Amino acid sequence: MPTTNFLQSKKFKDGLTGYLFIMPLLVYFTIFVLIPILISFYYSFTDWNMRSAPHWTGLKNYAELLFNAQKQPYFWPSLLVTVKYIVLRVPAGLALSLILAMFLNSRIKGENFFKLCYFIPMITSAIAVAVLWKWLYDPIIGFINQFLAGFSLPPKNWLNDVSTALPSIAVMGVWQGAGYGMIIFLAGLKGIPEELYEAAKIDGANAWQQFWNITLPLLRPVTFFLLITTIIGSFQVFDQIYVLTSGLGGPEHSTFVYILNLYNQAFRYYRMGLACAMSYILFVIILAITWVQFKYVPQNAD
Amino acid sequence: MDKISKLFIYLVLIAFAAIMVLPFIWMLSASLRQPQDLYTSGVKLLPVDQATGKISATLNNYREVMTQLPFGRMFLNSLFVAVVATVFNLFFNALAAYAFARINFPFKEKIFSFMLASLMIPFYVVMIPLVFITKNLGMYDSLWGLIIPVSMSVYNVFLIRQFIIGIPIELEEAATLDGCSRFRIFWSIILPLSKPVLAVVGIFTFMFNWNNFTWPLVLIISRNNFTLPLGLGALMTQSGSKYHLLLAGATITIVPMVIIFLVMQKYIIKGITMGAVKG
Repeated sequence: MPTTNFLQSKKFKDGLTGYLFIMPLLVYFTIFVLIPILISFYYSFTDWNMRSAPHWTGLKNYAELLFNAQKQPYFWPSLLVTVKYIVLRVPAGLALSLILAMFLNSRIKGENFFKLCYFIPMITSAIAVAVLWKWLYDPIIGFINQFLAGFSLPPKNWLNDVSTALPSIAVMGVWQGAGYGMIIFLAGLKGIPEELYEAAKIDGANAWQQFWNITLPLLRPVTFFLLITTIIGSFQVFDQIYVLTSGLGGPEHSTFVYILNLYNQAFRYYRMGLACAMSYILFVIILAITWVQFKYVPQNAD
Repeated sequence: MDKISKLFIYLVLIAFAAIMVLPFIWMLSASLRQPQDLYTSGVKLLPVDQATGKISATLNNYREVMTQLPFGRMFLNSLFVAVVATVFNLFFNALAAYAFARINFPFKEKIFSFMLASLMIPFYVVMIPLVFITKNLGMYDSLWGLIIPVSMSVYNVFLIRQFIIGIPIELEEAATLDGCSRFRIFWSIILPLSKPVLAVVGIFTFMFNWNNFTWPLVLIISRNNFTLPLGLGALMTQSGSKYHLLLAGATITIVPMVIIFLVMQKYIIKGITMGAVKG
């Protein structure tokens, strides 16, 4: 009997065991990943408020967001604020991480101690970091103004001034993320063969030339990875700004980033359909950033 | 390298170590001072009593913050959510990872690449439907609602699978000949050998859940179900610039994670580079 044979065969048994083993993941994936992705897409074409049934409205949400500045005065400004945040946060963060990694890699003592120190902000909750920095930035009792006063510099209302609020939050981001980038750069640096530097020294290359012609090109894959992940992460900055501005993105919307807008549309105004449309626009932007970087930024060490 | 540049390097490294760590020490010290001292004098390395000039620590700020929000309860909630989510992640992700690494079943590669593709989707795309689905499953405003929707992760499956592929298959073949079932092999051979990767996945899952803010923010309403970050965020909106309370609350939130970090640091450093740098 071929059927019985098949049922007893290793192939059938393996197939059965395999599916049994991935069954929890399959169920999880379907309910909490696949279905949400699909219904979010569907809801983005409706005027859903999570209480009553959604009505199909076609491209209305997308059109309102992109073209109706009367109804959505903050869509484009929030994108601009987010881009500003990325510009303030990402290059500075990468540069600091690279400097720390290179210094740590120069055969100094206490490498592990320094690593530990740079890491502590990274494992801390963004909300606790926001508390800590709110205190440091406090106009009256904050450390930063007291420090500046020591140099006879004028105090500033860091988080409540339109010109300093976003940079101040970006500084928090750089501070919190430096350890992560440092570890990844350090792993990249350890992968560069020592002989390359020795050969360069014999050829009479100075430290700067070595950095420019060996370190930087060979770190390209690592830099590329960090650039993409940090930009994507910064694009979705939310927690700190939400708690520091009570969800308003103030002062005067100067810290009103994209996700804050999305959150408010969904959970303040209950425009779930519109918020879903915003989430898909975010997805497209992130895909575009990734695509552009893959296409135009050299990723491989040549 | 000459002495001067070496000195320069040390100075920079020490300066940044101070910038990264001192705020935490000031925070701890400030949270132990009398509230009035906190508002009248600058940051101090040690909790100094302004009136007497002596070092003296008080738990008054901690007592007061507990009257504002149930911090004890929130601590236990955070711990419960983080521990259960970590256990679920470790077991179910490893189970699936083993199947993807070692067992032949139809559509295996297709299912795996399909799942991997989902990693490109940002969390905010699924956030709103997730609230809706969690509500319909009867888990809105509950601790299980914080756990089940993050109880597994394709990314973790990927990491564990990569590790299992590197385990020599001979170890399993011997067990198969002895008549061990697949689950026995998974449980008594694969899991113990995968300890390094499981430690990494475990610590990162714990950290993610301990620090997570957005998901509790959109799911939890009752104060009794608050986690620490959610409560700390509420405290910030509630009591504005009452730093003696905020800093005590922040210390409660940070200290457990720092202790875990100091114990497990080598796994954290390994974990960060694991997903990022290959070769």
